[in-house]
Amino acid sequence: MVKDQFRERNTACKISHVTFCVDSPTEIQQQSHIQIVSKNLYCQDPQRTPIPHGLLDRRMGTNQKEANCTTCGQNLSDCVGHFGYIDLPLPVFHIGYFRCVINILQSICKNPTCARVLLGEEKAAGFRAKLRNPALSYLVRKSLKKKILETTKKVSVCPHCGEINGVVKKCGLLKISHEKYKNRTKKKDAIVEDLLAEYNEAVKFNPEIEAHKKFGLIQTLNPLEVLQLFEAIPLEDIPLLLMNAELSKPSDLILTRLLVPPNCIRPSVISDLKSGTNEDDLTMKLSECSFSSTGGSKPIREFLRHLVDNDVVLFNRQPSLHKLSIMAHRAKVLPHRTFRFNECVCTPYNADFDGDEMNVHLPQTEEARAEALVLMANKSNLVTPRNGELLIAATQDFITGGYLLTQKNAFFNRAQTMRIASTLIAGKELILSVVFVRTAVIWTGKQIFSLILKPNRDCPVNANLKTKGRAYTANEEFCHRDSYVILRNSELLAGSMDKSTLGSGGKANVFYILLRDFGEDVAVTAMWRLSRMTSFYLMNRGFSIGIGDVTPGQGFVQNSFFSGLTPTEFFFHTMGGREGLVDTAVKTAETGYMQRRLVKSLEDLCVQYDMSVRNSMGDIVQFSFGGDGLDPSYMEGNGTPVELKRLLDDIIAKNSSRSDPSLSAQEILALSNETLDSKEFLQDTSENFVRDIKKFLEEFSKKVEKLESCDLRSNGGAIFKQVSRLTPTQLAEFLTRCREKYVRAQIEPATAVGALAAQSIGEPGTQMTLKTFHFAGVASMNIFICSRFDFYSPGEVCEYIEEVFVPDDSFILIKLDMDRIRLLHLEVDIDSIRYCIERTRGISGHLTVSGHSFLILKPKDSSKSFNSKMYQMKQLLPSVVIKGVQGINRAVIHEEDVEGVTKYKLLVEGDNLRDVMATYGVKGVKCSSNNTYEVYKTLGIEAARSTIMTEIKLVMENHGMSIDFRHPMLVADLMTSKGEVLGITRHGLAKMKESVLNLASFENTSDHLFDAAFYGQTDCISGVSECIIMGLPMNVGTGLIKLLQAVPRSEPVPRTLLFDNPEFHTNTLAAVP
Amino acid sequence: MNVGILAFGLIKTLQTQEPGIEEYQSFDKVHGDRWDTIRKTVMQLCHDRGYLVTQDELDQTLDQFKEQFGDKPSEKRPARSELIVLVAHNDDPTDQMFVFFPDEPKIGIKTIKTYCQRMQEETIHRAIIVVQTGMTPSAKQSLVDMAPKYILEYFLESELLINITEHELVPEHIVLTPEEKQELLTRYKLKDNQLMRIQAGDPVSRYFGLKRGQVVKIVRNSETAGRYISYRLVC
Repeated sequence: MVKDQFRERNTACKISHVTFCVDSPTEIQQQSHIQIVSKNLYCQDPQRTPIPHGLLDRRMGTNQKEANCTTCGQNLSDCVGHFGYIDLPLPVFHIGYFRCVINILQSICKNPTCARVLLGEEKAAGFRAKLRNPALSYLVRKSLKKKILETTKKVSVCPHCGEINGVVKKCGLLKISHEKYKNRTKKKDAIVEDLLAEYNEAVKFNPEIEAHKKFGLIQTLNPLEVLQLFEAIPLEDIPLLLMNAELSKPSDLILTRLLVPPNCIRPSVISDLKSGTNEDDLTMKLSECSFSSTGGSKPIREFLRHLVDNDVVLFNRQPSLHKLSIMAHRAKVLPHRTFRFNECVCTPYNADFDGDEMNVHLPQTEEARAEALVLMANKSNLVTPRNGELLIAATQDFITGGYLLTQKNAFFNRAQTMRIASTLIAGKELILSVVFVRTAVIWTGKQIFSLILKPNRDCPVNANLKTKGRAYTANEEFCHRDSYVILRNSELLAGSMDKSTLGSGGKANVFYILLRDFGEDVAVTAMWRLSRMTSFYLMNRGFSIGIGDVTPGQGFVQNSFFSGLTPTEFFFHTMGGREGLVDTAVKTAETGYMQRRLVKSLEDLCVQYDMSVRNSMGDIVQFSFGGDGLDPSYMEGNGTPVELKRLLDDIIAKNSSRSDPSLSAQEILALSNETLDSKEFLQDTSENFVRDIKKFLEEFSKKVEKLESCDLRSNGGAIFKQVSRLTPTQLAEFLTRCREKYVRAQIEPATAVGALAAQSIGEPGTQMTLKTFHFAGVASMNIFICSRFDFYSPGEVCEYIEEVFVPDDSFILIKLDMDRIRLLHLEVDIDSIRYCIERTRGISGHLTVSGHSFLILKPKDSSKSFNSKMYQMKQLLPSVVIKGVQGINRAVIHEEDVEGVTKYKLLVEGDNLRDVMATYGVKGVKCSSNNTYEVYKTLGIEAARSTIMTEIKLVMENHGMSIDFRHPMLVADLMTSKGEVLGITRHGLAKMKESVLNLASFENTSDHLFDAAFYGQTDCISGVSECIIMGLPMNVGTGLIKLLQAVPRSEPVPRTLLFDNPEFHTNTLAAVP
Repeated sequence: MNVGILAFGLIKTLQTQEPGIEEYQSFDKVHGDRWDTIRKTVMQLCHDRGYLVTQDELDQTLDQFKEQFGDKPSEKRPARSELIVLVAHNDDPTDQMFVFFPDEPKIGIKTIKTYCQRMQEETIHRAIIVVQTGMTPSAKQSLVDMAPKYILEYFLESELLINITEHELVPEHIVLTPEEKQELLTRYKLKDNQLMRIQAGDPVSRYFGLKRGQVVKIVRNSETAGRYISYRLVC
């Protein structure tokens, strides 16, 4: 069926919010069509008609093709079904609300005539005042409930009726116990005594019940009693339970009536033996009840047609780990049953041809087509937003062909050249021959390759690139392996193309230059030309691999498959292979879950029109994205919007400006500063960017200055003026282009930066290996133990600890071994040891120093006998900590050579950052820890934020993944936006988000839904997940923009009254005095 | 408490080159140094909160400290309580603040009461107590109870052994005036609870003595993005 084109709904029927509440028995009845009373399902007739008022009554819809629903008269496919209900003979606990029921019981008086919340008037008034605030957030309400519960739990005598209340807790499955006299059994209590006396009386007559006496003090609350209690709760006390009395009452939490779901969702298959069971139905979730369809739909005229050439289709391969896993293509309808596409787009889909399956979707409305074509087209997604590197680029044979074609020794005669060049004629361009005459008319492969970029002289594409290839050795273009690529005005002058200059994942790439300097169409066309030319060339030249090409073995397994493995090598090789398989299986699951958590936490974040990053509630997460408001996919340098050196080279190559004079070093600085310091320039760019340009030009001018100082520049020939030559026009052009590129790199409002950050961190996560994770440098560390952090006790540094009994005195004598203390570099003296011993728990006595190595400890008088006190302290003394830092297990000194200077780093294992920072000799302001929570507790939320960023960066770097720093920055900012460090887990998420639907769609679904019903929570459908659940357009990307139209409205014109008309005025009246 | 996060971490520290480590450090030396550092941090804290502290006091060297107070803490020269500080606010000289250094390692409600009496006598409403190991729960509760009239804050010695605002991971925090806060909220069309937050119990908030509802401006310095200004609401 053709979908309706999306239109803003009439405001009258738009879902603005969803409120959750507990279904009351009355509401259940109102929703239902019949009451179910019959136990049997079918009548005993041969047609097997359902029993009226039975569980399969056709008034609840039908589940058979031949019978229609008796309520709406529609058949199996059209009837949506209707509910029924069952009245329970006795109330039962609802499993979803069981915890809430216990909590309420803990808060209220268990006297059925009172049943008030166990709060004194004063306290209750305080809480009521807080609860009256209508704008209380969900989290605050939850914490208030906790607070009230904690207060009421401690109350043992009801302040209203004086009834004794004890501990209420769950005992066994769906049973609640009330230990009314719990705290009264130990002490002699009159009430308990009386009760026990009664029991004893009974035991006299029936000795068998003696064993059950102790259970007599514990009351079990059955659902009926609980229901009575709940019904007795006065209306004014309900808000103190954090329930919304207008929506639902506490008594609704106990089931007395059960909703029976429609027949159509519990099919009953009539077999010869028996029909479907009804027990399953009772456990059916109440899922479909709140969403009923509204109104009848208009009949739509359907237009059906086949997919035709040039239709816009969405192409997708699972797992869809990033936004480039689904892109828009133009369809070309071909025979047979396989999808075919240019190999260059394999990388973003992570596709190969070993049996991969992919999906195609056809957008049906014009808006969808337009959005797909502009935003999702493959040519608009050549680079990844992870770091701005090119993802769609040459692969496989295209690289091989390009490499072989541009070898130093590849020469072609006229016929060969023309044949290769003619592969490009499929397009419109006319090819202009490029001639190279030696003894014969001959062309080099590099000349032919240049046609890919610039097929004729009229083509305006003049690309410039200088970069090292993979096999680069030294001496730039004189590299003996010809791996220094120089591309000047679209002419390949030196170097052979390879994976780094043609393939994906890099910025020193021919197609990347084309994309950035000439646009996506030029880049895509060049890629197409390369595909045509290289595959043709490779087909003619021929290419194969053989056993000789197997790579030699390395590392533990020395032999390759060519030379043959020894039995031991084979064994260990299979071990490695098996481990790899297990690793892959484990990490796909783990990274998949990580990705899901990241996306769920970050999906709502989006750049607003004031350039701030906010979540769906409008809470700020960043004041400008990444601190500078730049889009990671437009970064040409490493995290910067312009690669200055390449840009300057490009401009100098393009604008030779032969007649212009060359600028001196001073002039360069003066001229550039004039523009850079101007207000307009700074307005468009940033301080930091200007600083970078200045730094770059200063370096350039230094080079010029050096040249000026030698006389060749002034006295040598014209050629010396060409070295490091920069003309005024070139400089002006350079600065203009810098500014242009910066402005273009600014992030667009409405970009879903959160989703991009989550994908950018999650997608490369699949490449992380699990085990090879060790701290850089630990293994190769020079280890010195640092005694300042280790624990020492008197036991280790004493000659003896003795009890001394003399006629008039007795004490404990400690003799310290001062030599040993000195030897161990303990940095303690007798006073500090005394100080440590005095502060120890369990030692109470008078401690005096005698000489420089004796300590005398005299026990204080206490209730314990003198001897046992002496003994106890003697036992305790050897283990007192006299030196060391709590929580530290090990400390080592790491020697590091930084630019010729030896620097020492102290690495401490443990988690006591505060005390380590405070240790004498440690430079506290430079201490850091990799434990985020520890840093948060010690140095505050801002320090924790930067720790999160550095730690993510470290992990990424250790695994060789490059990622724009703006992504981890957003994650760190989100994790710390609430003032405490929140994890990207279900616990952190619950503190970050208000929306019930969002939380319920993540984890612990039923818990969140039952909780929301209890609180009567309202969800104002604003985030991405909520909008998807409700079928509304979400408020990120193109959904953020709302078009408002000013409707011209005429002001009501006051009607002229008859008597206002002066014509009817009589002068006579006015003349009357 | 989220114990899960408290896994063993590797704490990386940089050790400076000391001018010759002593054979061993005496009790007096350790405590003299400690007290000097703590008192200096306290002075900086007062200064950063806008109280009048002279440059001499901020620059005081260890020797000057010893000269002023004595160098035998083991013999109560000085006693810990002698380190007491009284400062007045720059803008309003009647707004004064005490910094107490109790002698007991763990202080109870009795000590608090004597301090309170002293504050009452001298009509001073703010004080900081620098405790050695901790406070009894009832003493902590008493601080809360006195809250709006007498504002008493407490710090552990170990918290003041370095000035955390000078730490390389802690960016500059500047407290906004109510007018500046209002201007910020208008510029971004915000309600104040939509701002990012910093807790009142955050170490940096405690250093500046921030109250709920105040907004701090944070000037972050990143190598890549340059200077970057952000704001947080104290909650």
